[in-house]
Amino acid sequence: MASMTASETEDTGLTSLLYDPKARGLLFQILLLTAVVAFFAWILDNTITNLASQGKKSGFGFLGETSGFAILTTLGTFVMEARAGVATYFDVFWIGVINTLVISFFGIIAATLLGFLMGIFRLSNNVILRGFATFYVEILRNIPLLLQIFFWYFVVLRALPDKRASGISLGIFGEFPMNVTGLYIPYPLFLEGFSSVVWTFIAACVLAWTISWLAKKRQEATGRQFPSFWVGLLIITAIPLFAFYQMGGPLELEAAKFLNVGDPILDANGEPTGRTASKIKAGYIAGEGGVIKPEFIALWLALALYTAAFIAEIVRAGILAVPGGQTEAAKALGISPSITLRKVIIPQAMRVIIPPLTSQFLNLTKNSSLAIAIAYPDLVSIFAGTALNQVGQEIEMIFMMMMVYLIISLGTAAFMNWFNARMMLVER
Amino acid sequence: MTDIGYVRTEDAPLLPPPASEVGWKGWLKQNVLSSFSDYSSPGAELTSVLMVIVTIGVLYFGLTILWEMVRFTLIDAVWSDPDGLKRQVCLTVDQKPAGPHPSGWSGACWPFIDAKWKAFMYGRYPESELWRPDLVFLIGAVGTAWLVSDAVTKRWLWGVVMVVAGAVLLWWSTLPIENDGVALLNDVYDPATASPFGQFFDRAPIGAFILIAVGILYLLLVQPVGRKTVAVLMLTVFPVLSYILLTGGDAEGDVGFWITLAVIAGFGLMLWLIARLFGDNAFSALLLSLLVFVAAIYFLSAVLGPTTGFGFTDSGLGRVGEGTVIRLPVPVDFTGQLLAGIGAIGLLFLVMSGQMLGILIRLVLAVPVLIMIVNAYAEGTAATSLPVGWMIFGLLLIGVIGFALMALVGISRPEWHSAIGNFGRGTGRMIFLLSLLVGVVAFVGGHWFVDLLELVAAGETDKFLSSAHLAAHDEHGMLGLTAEAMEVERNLWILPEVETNVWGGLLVTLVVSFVGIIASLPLGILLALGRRSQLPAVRILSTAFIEFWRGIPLITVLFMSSVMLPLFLPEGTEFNKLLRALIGVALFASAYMAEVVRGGLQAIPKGQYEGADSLGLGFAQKMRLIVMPQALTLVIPGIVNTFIGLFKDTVLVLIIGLFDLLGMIQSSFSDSNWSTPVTSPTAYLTCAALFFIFCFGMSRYSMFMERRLRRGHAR
Amino acid sequence: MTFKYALGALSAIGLALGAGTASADTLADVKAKGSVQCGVSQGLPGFSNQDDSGNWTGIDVDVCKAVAAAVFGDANAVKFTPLSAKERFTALSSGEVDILSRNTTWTMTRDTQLGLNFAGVNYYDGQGMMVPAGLGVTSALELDGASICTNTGTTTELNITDFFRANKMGFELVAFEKADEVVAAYDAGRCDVYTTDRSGLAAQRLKLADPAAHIVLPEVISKEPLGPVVRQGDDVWFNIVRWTLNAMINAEELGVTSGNAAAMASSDNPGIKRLLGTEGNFGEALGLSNDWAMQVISQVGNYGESYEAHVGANTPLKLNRSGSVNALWTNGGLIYAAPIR
Repeated sequence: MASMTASETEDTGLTSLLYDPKARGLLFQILLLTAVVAFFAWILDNTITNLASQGKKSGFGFLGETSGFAILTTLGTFVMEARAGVATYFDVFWIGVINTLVISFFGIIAATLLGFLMGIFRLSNNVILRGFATFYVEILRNIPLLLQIFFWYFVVLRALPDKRASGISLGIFGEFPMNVTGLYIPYPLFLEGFSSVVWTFIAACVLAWTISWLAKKRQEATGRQFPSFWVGLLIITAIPLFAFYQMGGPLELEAAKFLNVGDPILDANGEPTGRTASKIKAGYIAGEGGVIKPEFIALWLALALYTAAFIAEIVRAGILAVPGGQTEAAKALGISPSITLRKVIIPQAMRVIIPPLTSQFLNLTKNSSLAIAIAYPDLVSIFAGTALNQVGQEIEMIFMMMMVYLIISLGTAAFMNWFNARMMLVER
Repeated sequence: MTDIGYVRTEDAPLLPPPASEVGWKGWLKQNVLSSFSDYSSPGAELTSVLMVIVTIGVLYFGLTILWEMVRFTLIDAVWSDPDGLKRQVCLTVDQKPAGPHPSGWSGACWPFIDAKWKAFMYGRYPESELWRPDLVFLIGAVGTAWLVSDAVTKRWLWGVVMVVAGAVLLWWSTLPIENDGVALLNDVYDPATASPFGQFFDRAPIGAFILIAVGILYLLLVQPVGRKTVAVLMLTVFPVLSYILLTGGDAEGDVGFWITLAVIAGFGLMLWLIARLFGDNAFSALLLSLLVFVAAIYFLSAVLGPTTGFGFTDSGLGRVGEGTVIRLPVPVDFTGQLLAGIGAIGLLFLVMSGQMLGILIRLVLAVPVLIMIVNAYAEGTAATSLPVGWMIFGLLLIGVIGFALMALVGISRPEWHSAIGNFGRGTGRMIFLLSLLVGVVAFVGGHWFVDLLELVAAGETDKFLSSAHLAAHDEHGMLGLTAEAMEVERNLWILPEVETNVWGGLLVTLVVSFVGIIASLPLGILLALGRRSQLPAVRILSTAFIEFWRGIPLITVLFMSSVMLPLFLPEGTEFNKLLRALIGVALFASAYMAEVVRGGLQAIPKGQYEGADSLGLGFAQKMRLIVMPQALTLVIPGIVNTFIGLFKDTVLVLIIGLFDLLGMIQSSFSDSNWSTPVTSPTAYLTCAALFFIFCFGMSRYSMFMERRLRRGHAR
Repeated sequence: MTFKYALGALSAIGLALGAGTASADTLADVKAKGSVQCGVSQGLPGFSNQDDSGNWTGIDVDVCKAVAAAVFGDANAVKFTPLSAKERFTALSSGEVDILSRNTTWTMTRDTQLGLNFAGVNYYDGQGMMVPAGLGVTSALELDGASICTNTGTTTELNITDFFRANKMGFELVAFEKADEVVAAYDAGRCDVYTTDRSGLAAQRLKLADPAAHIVLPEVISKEPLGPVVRQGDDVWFNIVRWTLNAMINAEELGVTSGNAAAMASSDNPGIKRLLGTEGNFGEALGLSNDWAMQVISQVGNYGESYEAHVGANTPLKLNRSGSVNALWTNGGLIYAAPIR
């Protein structure tokens, strides 16, 4: 049969080439590639024509130019040491990137913690927790994120005390006052001797790790257990605290100072300048203490709360995916519920959880671009927003912005694939 | 038999379960107390105590929020504004201007929502045309309900529902204009002097006729129209119908023309795909309903015109005065061309395939379509004189009667219906391509085709579609009518144009998300197939496309489509803003859709592919007949979930300056007549509630489908 | 198979979308279309704003209406496209709109580098600052340490940055994408200062909960001549827009109003006669009919009428004209038009 088919193929020559799957596939691919290349060439040609007729500049030369506008003080401006009118567009770009990464980082941490908590709550046998988590998940994930951001920013902002009021106090001792201009946190001033506290802390960590390693060894050898977690905790907290006390407390927390109307204004050295605070000057003094801007808080809250609802569902699904027999088997072996959770269920659930969790992290990062709606200076907002309006080179700037997101996305995806593969290998 | 001590002779009495295991106590124990009543070890003790604290905290927190919500939205809310005070009703005594509420009060300001409701729903859509989005919403709602409900098998129920709904709509449209402002075709003639029938007809919504026609057809069809058919109708007819209703169906300018063409071509392609994927019933139902609708319009105007003094005249639809020429309406606009184009496709199907009996029926059916097409594209038909008009009318009458007879007889003759239903088989495919071509040429053609021939004859082919040529057409209209005649026809056939920049509110939200999802479905299927293809170039390109769109945030996509798209296209190509956003959203959604579909494809066991191969099916047949039907059914929950995501994401269009629901709400805050501290919370809550209702409903449906599918696949 | 058909359809659509072309002859295009496509703002009371029933009004809108009246003799033959600051120039150069009349500042960069031409100035503006009256601030020089809200997309951020740096004052700039959000944030107390063009301040102030509780500071920190913009390289169209605006200004100077235009056509004043087309062929020289200015003035009104109707002292914006730079040159202002001669 085979030889016959072969001879047939040879006989008919060209016609059969048309019916040969390989040849057809090749032809189709060539056609497709040609079409795609032609399409892009067409776009490129149009773009060049359009740019030329609009007399627009192209190229990345604008990156070195001075931007000339001020940017809301954030970690990005702090890191880039950007001052108004001095920062170049390239600095602006990096400020945007940093701010995007910062909001994503904090958002991911908060969303993960809250999401796991809510996911576990949803499976709790405590009806109150279960009910609360269900409500939380259903409501938060069914309302658009942008609406939630607006809510946190505009509704909650309106409810906050005025700039000239000292604000509501958060924290146990009220050390975190908050008003409409932001949340003020004490700024740590490291005095002499603080470095030794840090070293003590590192040493304590090493010690704790060694103990736990030894304890594990011993348990493997003799079966005797040692409460290495609690001991470790004690070592890590107590020793550095003791060192801190011994060094005479080499850390001062400088809270933001509040200026009432009529208070004397001090200069940089603390000398009175002879002027008193007008109404415009009253409020928390910028530059002393740390401040978290309300834009950041609103965006962070909205991102974290929204994404946590999805993470909760992922966690729930992951835990439910672990067969009930696993829990029963652990019970039969006499393993306590908390250890069952820690050593049996979670490791298996994690394998199910990680891939969708990754995509949630990426979603959060991408969603942080909604910052543009509330003036948090992320990449989209200041680079593709403010800077683009000044420079007007859409192609280059949107390209740069997209590249950043693509690198983050593809990078994370690659890392997670690798991580996932590792997790899978440990399986059996 | 010795007494062996302790053998029971009767069953032990059934004791009631311990009080702590049943009833509210048991429930409480199992659901609340068990989590914090374990004090067996220090660790467990700690956990239990922690649980008590957490539970109390959560309970307190949850109840506080719940109470605040209830207090804000219900107890402390302002419900009405009888004196028209606007914002003052929602202010406190110490605010300016002083309101009726005590200091520190806060509660929802519902009169604000009431005042702005229309804007939230439709944006600035003209008041007199609001019945159009309403109708679209209604059809969408009915179709969706039909699609998701289990009542699909009870076709008589739905038939009756549609007829009744149509009748109610008709009745509603007869209410005096002063009351509701419903106006249909146009206001060319004076309603006060028109005959009652004319008055009635003039204002009756087209949708009512469509509903009634579809309802009757539905009742008449022997084979029940299943969920698939509805899905097909919702995916094909509904978008086109919505487009016509919402925009007025008259996309203007050069690009408008091409878009119309693209819509037609896409429509034909979709029809074909659907007919292949799901069978031909949908196809026939669709064509028949359109035919009935067109025939009804012709019939009513032409037959009843002379007796009621109402008909299509040179000055439009209206009262016929002495000496005026009654003529048949010539569909010159998009609507007419669309019908004609579809008609052409259907015609070829009808005439050229099937058995003898079928051919007879088809010929009868084909007559009105043929007339319509001839009428639409013949030169100078606008001035058709009475004899010609009556000739055409005679033919039309035969067609309509034939159709009616066929429909009536068909109730008891199922084989007739299958004959109608079978026109997609065998040579049908080849014929389809031909008819698609003819339909499109017929649509594009008409005058253009004649022009081309003339220009070829004159050796001036380069002038074809030149701006001078186009300008000449704008003067004479697409079919060579004068501008005045065009205007008349426009008033006659076309709903007044409503530009997309006055659309807004929920309407835009729904349009963007629906178009996104519907457009992304075919593209997503192609991409998913591409990503699983054996051919490396196809695979790489598909993967790159998918990963690119999935890797960037939607907002950058929207920026790109609003700022960069004009640069990518040839100079002078213009697009309206909504369309640009739609293109961006559709491309974005197609990448996500591709991944969903890919999931479905991967879930199909390899044996299915191999089985298809062993039967000698080609790639297309394998996909169409074996893989896709299974895969697409499997991924319905995934599609719904993608839709939910897209639906929520559409609010981002407000950032590029479209006024969707949230955009309208935002812009309503700048109305100083209503600016109070409680305005924005009230509006945000309303917006949240609307989105919640939609998304929650859809997610429930998706879960329901998931359970159902899982059950179906259980072994 | 599926692939091929779909690809065919896609490429057909692709080709189809690319097929529309616009020539450099805007007037012919506009005439063919039957209406003037006008790019306006997304809502700025007094300049271009849409009421609840979708009608556009404002002095920027009037410029477009006047061009429509000049071209078609029908001031309503105009369609409006609301544009954001980001989109506006692309929309104009891509042909999406024929005129951009969207409170756009005439700057050298825009005139020389973006392929645009400014056809004149219909409002002389400058950037100002608004603060709550309760702050007790009377001069912008007292604003050291203030937080400032503005919206992106203009020269606004640059001007305010320059101003504060020049005066060695500290400030915090919160820049939003859209004006509505700026108003909301300023109203919520996020910022002490709201800065944008002074006309914009007058307009946006109406959206505040209590407009009377805010004052505009006297400093004007920039020059912002606002005017209609057209594409570069189409002198015919440029002339039409420029001279339509000039006709409105000349009409005011000559005392021709929408009410008396018909009667004034038979006036003895040759200047008025030339304007209204009863003498000379000025309209034809523009490629229009000779009564072009007549149509403009009778349907839209002269510059002063437009000003008073939309932004003047009797409107909510209360931008008093007399004594301001926007008064007619004969009254000491800058509004001046080349003569029709």
